[in-house]
Amino acid sequence: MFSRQRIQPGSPYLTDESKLTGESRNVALPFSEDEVREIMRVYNSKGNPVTVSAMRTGVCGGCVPMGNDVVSLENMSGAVGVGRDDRSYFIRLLPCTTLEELDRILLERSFDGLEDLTPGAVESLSSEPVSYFYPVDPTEMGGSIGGNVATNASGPRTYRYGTTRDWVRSIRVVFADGGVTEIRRGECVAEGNRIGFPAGRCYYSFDVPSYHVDGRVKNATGPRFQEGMDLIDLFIGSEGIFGIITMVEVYLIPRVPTVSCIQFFPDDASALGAAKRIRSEVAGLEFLEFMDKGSIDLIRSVMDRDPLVVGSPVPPEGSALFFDIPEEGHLDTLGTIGEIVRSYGSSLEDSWFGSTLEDFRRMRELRHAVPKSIFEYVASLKSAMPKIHKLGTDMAVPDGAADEMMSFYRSRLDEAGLEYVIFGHIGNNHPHVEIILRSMEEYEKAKAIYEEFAAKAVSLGGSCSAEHGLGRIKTRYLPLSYGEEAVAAIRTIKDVMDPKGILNPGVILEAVR
Amino acid sequence: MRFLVAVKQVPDTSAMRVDADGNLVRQGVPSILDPYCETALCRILDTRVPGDEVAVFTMGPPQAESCLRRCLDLGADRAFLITDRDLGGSDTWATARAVSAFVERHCPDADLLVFGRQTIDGGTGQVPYEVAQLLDRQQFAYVTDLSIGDGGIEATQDYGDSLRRCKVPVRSVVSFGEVDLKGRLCSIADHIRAGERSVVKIDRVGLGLGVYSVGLKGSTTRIEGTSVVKGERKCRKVRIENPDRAVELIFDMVGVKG
Repeated sequence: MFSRQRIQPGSPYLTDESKLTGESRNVALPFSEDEVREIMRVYNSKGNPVTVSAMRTGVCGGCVPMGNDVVSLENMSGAVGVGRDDRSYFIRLLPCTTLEELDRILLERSFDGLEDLTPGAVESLSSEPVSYFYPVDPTEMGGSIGGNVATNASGPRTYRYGTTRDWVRSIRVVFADGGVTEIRRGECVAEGNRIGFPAGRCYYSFDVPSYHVDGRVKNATGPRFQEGMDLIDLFIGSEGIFGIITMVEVYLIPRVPTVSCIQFFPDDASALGAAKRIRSEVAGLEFLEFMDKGSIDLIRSVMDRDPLVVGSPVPPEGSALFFDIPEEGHLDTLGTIGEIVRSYGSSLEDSWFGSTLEDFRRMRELRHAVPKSIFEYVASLKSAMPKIHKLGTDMAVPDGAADEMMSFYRSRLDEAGLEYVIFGHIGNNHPHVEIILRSMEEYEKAKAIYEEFAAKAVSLGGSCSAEHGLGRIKTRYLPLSYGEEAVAAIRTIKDVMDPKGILNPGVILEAVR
Repeated sequence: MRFLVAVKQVPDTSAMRVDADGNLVRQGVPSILDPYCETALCRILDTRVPGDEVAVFTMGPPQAESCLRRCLDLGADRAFLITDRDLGGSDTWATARAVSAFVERHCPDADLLVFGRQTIDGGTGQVPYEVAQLLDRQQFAYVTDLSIGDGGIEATQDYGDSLRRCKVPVRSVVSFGEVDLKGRLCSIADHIRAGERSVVKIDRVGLGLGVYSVGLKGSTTRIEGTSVVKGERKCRKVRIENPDRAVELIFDMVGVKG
């Protein structure tokens, strides 16, 4: 028997970082995969839908229930074992292990009690001269690994290391009927456009939809399909609509010593110009992040009250680029960067340099203070405007379209008289535009402009959701990105695997049925 | 003016945690420049005028050079690393003896010897005063502000319930009592310039001390064991409707006569 509790009004189970608010009466709290299976058998037999939830750090409302019960995996956390294969070491994790916890385990080498998934792996990893790490960094380190896989999370370090998808070795998935299977990359691949696999007493088989995805552009807009696809990619990025992830194995790599820098510029145009040149002329960047003048002003305004940044120096006015480079050879690299920034009206005197984890943490918290301040701001509006939620873009475009997209953002928002800040992953042409809302009128106006941004990004060959996924808030961007035919094909697969439609209804696919 | 600032590399205790058995988990904890030392150095860097020289030194294993590198990044002009296996295990008195020998042999012309109040790893707060004693110099503790003018060096000391403004004779030992909440980051240009300065290494022989004066052999402190102290708190819940009666009860419990 599994644990189930009543949900009280105002419960944290009813919202996430998008501040979208939902409704639900009960939350099931499994402690094991067997309990997840039991829960699904019970709910499936009655045809009662569920919304899967973990750390609730998503920003698209994917874990926000709309009347149905919640299955929260919060009690399934921790590392299980360590193994090694031809590629590298890997670690097996329960789904609600946070990235912060994973990082701590690897940094402290807290491997006591972990299982050897391959002979001698734990001892071998413990005795490595440098510690290993999981390189995907979605900025929000409090998110769960299961949630990261379900949304194919990415972040600043995607610039160098790719997305979650590139690091997942295997997963275990519980299906709507309570069946379970383990899927390892490379073990089940589509033959042409047909894929099939056994799970419990069922055998699922379906045609792979074909829609074009530009692999060079960051994209978390729904599941990724392609001819000859690996089965594991059906579940990575599909936000739990096909099954619940109950175990994840991710690859690890040796920690690379790096140094961290923030370079300040007099204005946004200078920073953006320098970013373009740094990206093309400097090798080995771990990430390249942009903070516009508005973002720096926002940081300066919260420095005395946000405990996370209270220990950081106050940044000067203007805009900034934040980047990490490998420690080895960093003086040469900084020399090159110095020449670039000089041609954009700045100098290496106008910068911060850090060589320790603490320095990096300070700079990172400063960067994270921008979205966090906006989350808090939107939360403060909720009592007066219950229907409001955060409106921040998550669009990425190809290299050649970055300037056009940036100009479009600014011109439309300026024309509409909306206040906004722009920050984020400029290295991947993926800045976030956060619209600072002050009234419901502005909210409605901003929503309309957001639609224009999405359409523009798609018309430029980009993606509507580069890293946050679609959740409940952005479902309309699935047909915008891939067309109605592709959406119908995804629905067909959903019908095969979850005929009663009980898994995360309304997530990714509009709840029209 | 020649300033000599003592610094120490310490484990970042804010990143430490205690395991289920009550033991400190040190694995994976990064080493940092002690925040008290960093604050003391930054105060001196803010105080100095063109022509002044700021030297830093530390005593520790070879990897302690990284904390001196940080000091150079922040603006120090010279750095000394006192490092020798024989110095390992020094208690505060043996440390003070080594530091005093270093000052006398390598920086005898320092106008001001500067420390942080304590370090976050041991927290004994004894070394500055022991060094002052060994060098027979005046010492000024809990300094919050230091200024240099025509009248010489002046310091403000914070005694908790009062502030004291006093003149500081040249060659005194000063220890700053505070930690800056907002840490400092150097610029990339500072870091590039600091790369041109080297760290001078000094061993036990360079201090002119024998093996029985330093390290474990020169330490009188013996640690018999450590234990975790668990505080026990006894709680009692009382429901009283009358506020005056509640005040009386609290006074009775804490032994105050109303």
